[in-house]
Amino acid sequence: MSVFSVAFYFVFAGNLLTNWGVLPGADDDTDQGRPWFPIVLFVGLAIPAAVAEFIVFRSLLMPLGLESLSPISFALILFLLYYVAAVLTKALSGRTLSVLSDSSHALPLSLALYAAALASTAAVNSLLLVIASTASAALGFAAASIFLKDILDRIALEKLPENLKGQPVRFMSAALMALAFSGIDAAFFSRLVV
Amino acid sequence: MTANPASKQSLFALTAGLAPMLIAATDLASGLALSGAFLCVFTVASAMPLLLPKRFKARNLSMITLGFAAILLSLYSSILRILDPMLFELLYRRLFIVLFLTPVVAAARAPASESERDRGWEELIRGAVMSLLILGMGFIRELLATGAISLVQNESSIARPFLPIMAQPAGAFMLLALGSALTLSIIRLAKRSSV
Repeated sequence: MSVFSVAFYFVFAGNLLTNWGVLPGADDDTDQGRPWFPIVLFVGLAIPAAVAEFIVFRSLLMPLGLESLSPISFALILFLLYYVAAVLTKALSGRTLSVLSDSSHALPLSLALYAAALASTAAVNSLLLVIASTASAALGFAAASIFLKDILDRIALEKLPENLKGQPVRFMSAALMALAFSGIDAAFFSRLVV
Repeated sequence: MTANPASKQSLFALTAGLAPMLIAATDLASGLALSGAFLCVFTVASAMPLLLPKRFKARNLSMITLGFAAILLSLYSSILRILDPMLFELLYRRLFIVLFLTPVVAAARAPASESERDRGWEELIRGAVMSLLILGMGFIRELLATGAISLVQNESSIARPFLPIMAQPAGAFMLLALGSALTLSIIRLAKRSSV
């Protein structure tokens, strides 16, 4: 990610999450019931995982010529941090962790998807840029998930042809979101020289 | 983000879980490489729980299975690197996404009953069908994006764009949406004709 795209996703995701009441600070929250703690936890786990993976990549994977194992190492570190956080939460407060959903499997799968998404982006050489990229990607990922969920809730109120209900309209909504972001990237960020 | 691999997977849920691979297969060459990787990993993930002794706990069984699958995938990527270094450089980050896909995680669970154990061969067929789906996705996307098919990237195929959006993730999602709608309508027609 370039510096400008990192900044954009920080501003966009932060703005979206604040306006949607997930982060505190909005004048009129759309839904008071949205918890902000899980988002902070999600981003909070991703950043140290990215730093640890950066160190592991530089000190272990690169000297041994195992750069292709970077996605696995990142995912393992992320899952390890999640289970440590879950065990600590359970031990200290007696509560279980749940992020963005009531399903107990949502966060591990979310972390797995996030690991895969991060692994697909270009490698960066600066630790500060790694931290910024990770935080912005985590915030953007969380925002996009909430955004898509609310789009689908709104679409459920519309009259759609039977064959478009369910998976087809979900894929089409994701396609339009991806089109918007790739358009912004192509029309704006790729023209800026860092 | 709410998918639960422990629940019974419908065909559409598994296809949705396969979406990252379908998005990553941008042309025939990458589709071929990714479908081969998926086939190897899924075969190991579905066969290992049936072959390992029953005394293993379910969680340990999944971890061991995915560990073996990761080793096999590393070997596959090494072979790909020898066969086509350029393709490996383009794909090596996407290859390891296979281990995190919902169908693979679901297949790596211990069978819940003896009848599930006896029908393990159905999982292998399902894996073959999904890998063909990945290959087909790469084929269709390259055909629609460039108007031509090539296993080797050359300048002529890049210079004749047809529907360039199909090479982007947005185009892949659109194809998935249209394919899902078409499949649903075929299933509905078949149900109506059988009633």
